[in-house]
Amino acid sequence: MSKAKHSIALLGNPNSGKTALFNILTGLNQKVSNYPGVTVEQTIGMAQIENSPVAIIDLPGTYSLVPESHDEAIVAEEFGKWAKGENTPDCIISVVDSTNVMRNLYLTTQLMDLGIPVVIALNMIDLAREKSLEINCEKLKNDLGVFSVIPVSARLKEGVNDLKKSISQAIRRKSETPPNFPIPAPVQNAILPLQNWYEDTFQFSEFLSRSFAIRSATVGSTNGIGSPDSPLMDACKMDLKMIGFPHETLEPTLRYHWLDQVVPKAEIPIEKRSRSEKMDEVLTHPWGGPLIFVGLLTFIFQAIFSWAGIPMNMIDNSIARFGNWVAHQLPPGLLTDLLVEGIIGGAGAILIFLPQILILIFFMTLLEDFGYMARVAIMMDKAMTKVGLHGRSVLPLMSGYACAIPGIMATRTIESWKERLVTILVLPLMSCSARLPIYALMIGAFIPNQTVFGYFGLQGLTMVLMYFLGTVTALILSLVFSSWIKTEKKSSFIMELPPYRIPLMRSVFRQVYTRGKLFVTDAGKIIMAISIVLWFLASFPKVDSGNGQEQTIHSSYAAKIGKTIEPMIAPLGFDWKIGLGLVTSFAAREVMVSTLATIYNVENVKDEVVSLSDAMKRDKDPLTGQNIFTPLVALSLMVFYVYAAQCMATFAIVKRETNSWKWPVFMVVYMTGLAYFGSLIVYQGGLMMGFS
Amino acid sequence: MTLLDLATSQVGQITALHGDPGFRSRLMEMGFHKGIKVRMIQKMPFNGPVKIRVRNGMISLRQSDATNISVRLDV
Repeated sequence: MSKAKHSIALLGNPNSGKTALFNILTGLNQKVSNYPGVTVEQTIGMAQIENSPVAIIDLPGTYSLVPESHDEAIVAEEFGKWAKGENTPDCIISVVDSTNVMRNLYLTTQLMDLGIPVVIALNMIDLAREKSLEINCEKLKNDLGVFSVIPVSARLKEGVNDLKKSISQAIRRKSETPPNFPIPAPVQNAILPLQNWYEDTFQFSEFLSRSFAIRSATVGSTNGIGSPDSPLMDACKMDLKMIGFPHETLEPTLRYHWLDQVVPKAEIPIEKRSRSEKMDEVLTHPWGGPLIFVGLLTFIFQAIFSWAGIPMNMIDNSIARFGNWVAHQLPPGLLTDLLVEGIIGGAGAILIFLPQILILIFFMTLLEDFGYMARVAIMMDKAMTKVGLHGRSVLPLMSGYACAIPGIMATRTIESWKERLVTILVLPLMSCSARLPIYALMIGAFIPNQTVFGYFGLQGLTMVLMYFLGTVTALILSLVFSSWIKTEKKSSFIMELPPYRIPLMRSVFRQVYTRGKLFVTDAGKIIMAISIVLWFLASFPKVDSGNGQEQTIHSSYAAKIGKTIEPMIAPLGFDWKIGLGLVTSFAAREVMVSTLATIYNVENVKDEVVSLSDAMKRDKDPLTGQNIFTPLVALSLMVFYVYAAQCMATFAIVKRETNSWKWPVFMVVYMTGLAYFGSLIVYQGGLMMGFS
Repeated sequence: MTLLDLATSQVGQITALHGDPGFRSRLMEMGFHKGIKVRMIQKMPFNGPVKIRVRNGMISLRQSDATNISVRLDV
């Protein structure tokens, strides 16, 4: 990626369409972050603006520079750094929702204090037109004193060229006179000592110092930079109280007062019911709403099973054919064995599950972009509060169905630390897409493909049961954990409900593509490495026993490792091969499948890649002659995977988000305990009830 | 009366904000100000959150938070 001379920052309220605009400006030319353990808090993309490369920094959406949540604190701290001249962008694009200009401009006025050019991107201008909201851009620009106001629609790709042109002009401008919004003289006098402190300490401009003075008087501190001593602050608060300005709401009072004067009213009559309100009558109906929610979830899981069948078979067949082709092209030998049995067998076993993962991510993204997830949050808030969580916990928990990592990152929007911590702790119990390969393999091989209750497939139902088990356990444990953690702060719930929008398919597919690529590359790397090591362990030492290679695997290093832990896991119904899989999949769950694939491929006498589920069904205990895998073993193994903590990336992210080793360690301990006893109960209970 | 006392689709005008400072200042940042009109859209069942129309936007608040907003009816 070429080095950019200029950088611009993209800021705006949540739901202002900031990310859609970022995607349009950068195209696919984006450094993907927000993923496993990377310390990046921001996404940086490259854009060609008037033929020169410009770096675009995308920050989390926020309502203000006074943070209520961790997510918003990132923006406030970054702003503090810019004020001090660290990586200050050349220009700020303030993304504003045209249908709610007044509230969105609040943040804009805070950004303008920095003294660098601010370009207002009046996004969703198509919706404003639809609602016949008139906005005079030229007047708004002059009254606020921003560099420019450009109407755009990220959805219709309208106004993008105008925006780019304006950005290129703004970059060359370098500095801008900050707004001189009116402050009553007594207030100005009261905050003057604080203002002087900022001017003296950081050599900030008068306006920037004044802005920080107002903020520190309001909330008692300023993020990202230091704040004055408490005697200085206390004196200021006293002065403000004397003149009848409660200091706690000083900043919003002053700024809104100014905005109310200069911004032309573009208000929808309060009585007018919006289209979203009408849709909500169905979607958040007292009992219809929750019913629709459950129905949607059931539909998604059924879709994962039924729709993915054809592409999965295609991938399965082509990998088997490719493996056989390679085996026939190359001379027999160690290298060919490694390639066919280790690498193709191992990686192939994972690729099969890509369709299911993509379908899951597709639906999750669709619902979120539609605006439905915010409704789920309010429908669930009461129930969530009952188990010690928050309405905002729902989205992270549901993201956990795709992957725990973005889910844990999404908890940053939860304001209370306690609710956030409990959400993080139980989140890995939500069955993520890495478990799908194991569920799918076991269900596909051992759960009969029949219909029950006339309509539901037994396989799909078993799948739903696994997700249900994880989810219910997560909720019960939330209750337990939150009763352990003490807190004095009362939590509140102020949440914006975005209007329903038809999701932009290109951005949905982009998300699906990005996640899918990450799954293949990230999981691929681990799986590749482990597959190679495993193949080696399973293939050596080579024993010359005359009666075929059957002997090899049972005396291999891999078997030794597996057999060492076999006594411990025998009560769960697991043999040494599964044991080995449990060991190798500690880093990542899906490795279980590739481990089994590699072992069975090495064991396979003929130089042919067979389907894993066939190999498992055929596998018999050499002593008793009984099947290694039975439906009960499969069930026990699935329950183990519902609970077990097997994901290095999750531990890393929990360590980072909680800033301590205590919580990831606690997570591993409690989840492993749950997994062992959960499996034990299923297997032993099943045996007692006469299942096999 | 408070925001919570508004019946569904009833309009009121904000007269005061109460509650702890952080909460009040967040309410103001979200557009809740003295003199601003609000409309009750929906009260979720089982004393769940309420949905409010304020300044072109739809905001959801818990009932306990809604009682911290004083409103009057004659608008």
